[in-house]
Amino acid sequence: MYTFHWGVLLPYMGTFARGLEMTFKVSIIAELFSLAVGLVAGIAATSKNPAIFAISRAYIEAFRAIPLLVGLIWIYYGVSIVTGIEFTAFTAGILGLGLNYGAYLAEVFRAGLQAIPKGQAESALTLGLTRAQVLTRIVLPQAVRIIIPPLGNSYVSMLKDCTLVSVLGITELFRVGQTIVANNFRPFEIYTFIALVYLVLTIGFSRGLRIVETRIAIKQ
Amino acid sequence: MEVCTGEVVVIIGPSGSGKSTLLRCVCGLEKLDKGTIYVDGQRVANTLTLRGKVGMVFQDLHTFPHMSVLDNISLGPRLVKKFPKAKAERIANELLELVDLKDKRKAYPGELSGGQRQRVAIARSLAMGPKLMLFDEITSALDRELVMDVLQLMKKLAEEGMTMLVVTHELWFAANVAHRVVFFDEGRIVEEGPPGEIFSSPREKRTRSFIGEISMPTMINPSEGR
Repeated sequence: MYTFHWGVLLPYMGTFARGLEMTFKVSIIAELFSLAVGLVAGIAATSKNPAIFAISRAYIEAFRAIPLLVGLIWIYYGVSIVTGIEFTAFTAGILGLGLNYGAYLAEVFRAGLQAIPKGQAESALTLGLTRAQVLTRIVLPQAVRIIIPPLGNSYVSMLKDCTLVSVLGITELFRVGQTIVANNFRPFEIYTFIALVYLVLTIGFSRGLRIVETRIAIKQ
Repeated sequence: MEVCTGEVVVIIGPSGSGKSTLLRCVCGLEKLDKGTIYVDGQRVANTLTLRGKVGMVFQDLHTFPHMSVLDNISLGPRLVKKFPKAKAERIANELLELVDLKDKRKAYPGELSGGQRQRVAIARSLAMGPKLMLFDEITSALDRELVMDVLQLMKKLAEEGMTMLVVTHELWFAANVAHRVVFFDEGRIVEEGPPGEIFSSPREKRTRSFIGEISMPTMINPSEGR
């Protein structure tokens, strides 16, 4: 029977905190990047212009098909070989996570926009509203309520998928754990602790999300 | 085809005959292949240039679900006419009185019945001070018992002198409110005339058979049975 010695964690709390900080930094920047890419690609995917539609679909299909880990490795090592452009590990990590999640979020945005009946926009148009007003006052406020839950869930996944950028050498929480294990040979304590940190983070975030959802729900 | 100021014209005809398309053209939602439409001397190009001059109410209930009834109605005056909030809400409150929904001003469309929502949609269009109101089968999606409230409101509008172009299968409305009935088929006007004439002695065979199909008993005023 293995005996846990939780005390071995104590000297490393500062190191863990720095790892966690990097996890947040990568996940938040990558999530914001994926939101921007997803919104643009999602609106483009509802476009009637065949060229814009095709580009958007090609991006969505490609990045949804490539496994995240493969994408990360390819952007970090492959792109510099093909194009000569060298990314730092951090940039490659953000690009890999952001483009992968952007493709997924594009579908979320597209579905959200298309879920709003055409008559909503048409009614607003007949009142004399401009297309921009229709989008910002009528369509987006309704679409956001549909989109918020999957957006929140995407961030929960993003937090966890950030462990993958450890393969690029980014010292996020999991990578920090690996380094500590190499020093003190206490993998059970270290990885259990990391798992618990993720558990608390994701459950806490999901709970917060539920509260936001009830707040913004449309009265029925 | 011409519609005079204060005239109520009812358009009837089989589905796919182009009734809705006609209304969508008049309010600027469709691009015209050929021909021109004038409303109040202004050539209809798109919804933006009309600025709410032509009000349109759809069959499906398209009130804005994320806004209160008051905000639904005051939205147009505020965004398009740039009225201050207080003025826009005063207009909305007057219209809520007209459509008999004063106590629902704070409610959201999801809390209202279909009939109430259509009355909000009517008030929302009226808030822009339209010269012409278009109604595209606006009672078709409603439960039978809610239809009459909406029809009575339309009758009241007609009596106040609103110019109206109405697509409906409610023969009671056509018979009792319309000044003129137009029968549409395959995108063309087959026959038009006063409701009495069209319903009792249609000249065209197609008109006769269509009116036979939508059955006369509904012409009896349903409110008399209450």
